[in-house]
Amino acid sequence: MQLVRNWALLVLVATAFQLSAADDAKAEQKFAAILIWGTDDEKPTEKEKDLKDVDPALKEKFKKIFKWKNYFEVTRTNASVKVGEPKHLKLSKKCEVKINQTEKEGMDVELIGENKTVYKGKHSMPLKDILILAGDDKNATAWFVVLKPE
Amino acid sequence: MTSKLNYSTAKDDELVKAAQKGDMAAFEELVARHRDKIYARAFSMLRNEDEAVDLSQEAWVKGWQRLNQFQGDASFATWMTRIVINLCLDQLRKNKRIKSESIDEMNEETGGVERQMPILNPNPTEGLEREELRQRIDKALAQLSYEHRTVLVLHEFEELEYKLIAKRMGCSIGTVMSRLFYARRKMAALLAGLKREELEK
Amino acid sequence: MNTRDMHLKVQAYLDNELSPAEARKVGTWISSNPEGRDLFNELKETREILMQNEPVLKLPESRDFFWSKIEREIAAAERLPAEPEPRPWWTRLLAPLAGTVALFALLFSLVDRGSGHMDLSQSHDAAPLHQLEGAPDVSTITFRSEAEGVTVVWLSTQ
Repeated sequence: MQLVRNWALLVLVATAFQLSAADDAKAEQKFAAILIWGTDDEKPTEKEKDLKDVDPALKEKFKKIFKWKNYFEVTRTNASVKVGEPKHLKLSKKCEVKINQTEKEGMDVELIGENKTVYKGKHSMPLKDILILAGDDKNATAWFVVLKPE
Repeated sequence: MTSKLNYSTAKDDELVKAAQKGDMAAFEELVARHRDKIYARAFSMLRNEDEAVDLSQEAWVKGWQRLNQFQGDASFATWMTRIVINLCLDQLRKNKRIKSESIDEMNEETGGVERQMPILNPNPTEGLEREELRQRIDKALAQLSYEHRTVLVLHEFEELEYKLIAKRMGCSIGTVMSRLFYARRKMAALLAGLKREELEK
Repeated sequence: MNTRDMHLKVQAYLDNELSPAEARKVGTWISSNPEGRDLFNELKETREILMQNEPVLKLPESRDFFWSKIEREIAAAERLPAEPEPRPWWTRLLAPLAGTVALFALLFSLVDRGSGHMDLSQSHDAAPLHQLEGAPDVSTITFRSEAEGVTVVWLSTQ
């Protein structure tokens, strides 16, 4: 009897963990979507108002990983996703990102450049890492779409 | 006792061997020795100083990354030149400055400049100082289209055969021949000192 | 053969691009045709002038500055996955299969076999499990920096 009770307790605890894990997966994922531009040049004077400084902690990470001298924030949007509530964020005229949290399989991320899907991928939930989608831009600069968990 | 490599006096193949083992200083010496040549090749194709600097820089980075693929069949300088040429061709295609088949096909077919031109002696360069001649050639090259200049550079300066040029430029051998013919005749005219306006009549 | 084709053959003759039989024919034509001879001489002189007088240019940056940029780029590139070495053709057939096998192995290890629930929070990184689709002319490289807590997907257009 004692043995049966112990097993029942174990199953209950295990189920509780499963439910809470499932709840985590269904919980809201808050993040910041940031469009960043990397360049070796100084900030163009004509873009003084349009380009902001990247926050120091993020800039530090960028400098360790990527090769450019300077990084500027083009846009920043705070958002959250939940299962059943996908988000479609427009970061610039040419850059959009769609995020959809699925029930079991993580987060679908779709990057749209100039109205064409450039990338689609699944990423685990909850988002622990900062996710960066990036590519070359003209004149040896680069663009970065950052999804940063908040 | 192993002697340390004297970078400034070492031969290229010694520097390459050292660089292949990870010796960055040896690679830096190779860069210093051949950077002008690589840059000049990039500039001759792109005709833009900033782009030529960027692409020659990229070529050197790729050279370092691919160093273990260098077998010594050609000289190191030739090997590096091939890398920068490929980068330039990619850039020209990406920016749509080069088309696979000749945009000047009509002009080349009907003759354009070359048909109206008498056969010339392109050597009024006699008497010119070498430096002056080189400058004249540089100015003349600038007046060609990207396609014509590229085929001229690859054939006259890189001494590539038609088949290889066709492969690099993504066009037929016939197009290479037409472009080269047109480019040579136009260069002859330019070097013979005809004014551009006269050529366009 | 029309005039234009003949002119191109004169050029090919100059450049040693003709077969021996054809070279003989064209050589004969050149020696017996004044216009052909003049054209050959013009092309030959132009070629020689160019080959002997390629413009000499100097890179407009100092040795140290130029090298410092290259050094920095090499260091940054070495933080990214290296360019893949060319693979034998048959590995490209096996690669998708290997990926699927690896994926199943990973999923199997994560699945709580009791409930069948897949606990993705146990996976240690945010790398994509698989890429659903992308533009056909875009290739991706994914890497993770554990130290920085960053996953990067680098997109290149081909």
